[in-house]
Amino acid sequence: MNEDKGKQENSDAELRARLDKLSSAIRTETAEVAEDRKSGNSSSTSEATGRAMGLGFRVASELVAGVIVGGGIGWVIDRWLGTSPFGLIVMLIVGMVAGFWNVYRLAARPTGITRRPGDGK
Amino acid sequence: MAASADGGIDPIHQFEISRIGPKISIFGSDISLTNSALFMFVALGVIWLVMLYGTRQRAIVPGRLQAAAEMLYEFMADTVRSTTGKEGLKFLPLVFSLFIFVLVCNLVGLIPGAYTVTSQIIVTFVFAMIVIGTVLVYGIVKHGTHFFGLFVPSGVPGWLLPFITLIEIISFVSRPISLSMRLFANMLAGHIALKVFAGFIVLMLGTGGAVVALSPLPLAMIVALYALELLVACLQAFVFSILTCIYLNDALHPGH
Repeated sequence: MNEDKGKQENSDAELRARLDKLSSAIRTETAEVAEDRKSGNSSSTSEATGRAMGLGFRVASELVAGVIVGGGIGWVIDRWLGTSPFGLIVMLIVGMVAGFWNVYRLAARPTGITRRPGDGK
Repeated sequence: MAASADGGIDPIHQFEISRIGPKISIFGSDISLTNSALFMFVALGVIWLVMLYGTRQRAIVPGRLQAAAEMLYEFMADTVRSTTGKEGLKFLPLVFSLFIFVLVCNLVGLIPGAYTVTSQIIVTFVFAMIVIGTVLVYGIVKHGTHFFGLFVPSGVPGWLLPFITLIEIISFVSRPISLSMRLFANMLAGHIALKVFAGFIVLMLGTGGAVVALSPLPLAMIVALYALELLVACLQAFVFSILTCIYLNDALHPGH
């Protein structure tokens, strides 16, 4: 019984130490984020606008290009195998999926990999 | 501004390719100078002058031109380093050449009366094919069959793998198309919009009456559009070069 209590106190102390470490980590993190935001504000908003526009153009062209490539491949398959119009239909859908997949990858950065500056613009 | 046959204003006329000077043909193919080729040479000349005069003095305290040239170089070197890492720097000459050529072509095209080289899809498509060709050749030479692991992502359940591989291949093939189309479409659309608004002024002045008083409105719109086009011209050159870096990154590190 006594031993159990000692163990509990011990783990309590450990937990407290971990909690302290985590909260200090969070403090430095938020300070860094605030610093980032401040420096981001000082450089004009036109840079942010430019970045957003660049991303927008990328998304739009990525969507369209997927459909064009899918449709093109489907058309060629139809001409070669005489399966009109099923090749075109299937490959158009696959191309659309590829376009959306590209946009999804653009928007959702993989977790676990630290973002490098210049990524995702 | 060109008037078409029916007396209206033709916003597409600015993209027509016409021959300048005598017709030259070698081995049956026509290689005479066109307005498109002329403005490619103009862009080349501008780049040449800026870079030659900018780097001639090599002053420790740079002048304006030297500062501009150095900033462009540093900017591109930073972009390449941050997206592809240290080993990507051997592609800096390629990326920098593409960036500066597209940028200067876009900017030269904004001068009224000048021809916009990058509004031709064949020009931008050749740029994109240079990039993708470099990625393919370098990736295969450097990594061999391991490069094709790019199309087979890891951690996908077996029954889904053929489908995912097909989608990955399509998304790889769509890269040169989206790369070339984005630049071409932006320049084309921007210049057509400018011409259409300029056409409004002519039409309004021609109508006469109270409409003439409204004609400064499209003029104000043109000024605003010009500012936007200036941003788009720089932005598209930057987007083109950063995507080049991202694709080259795939050739350098095909693992992920």
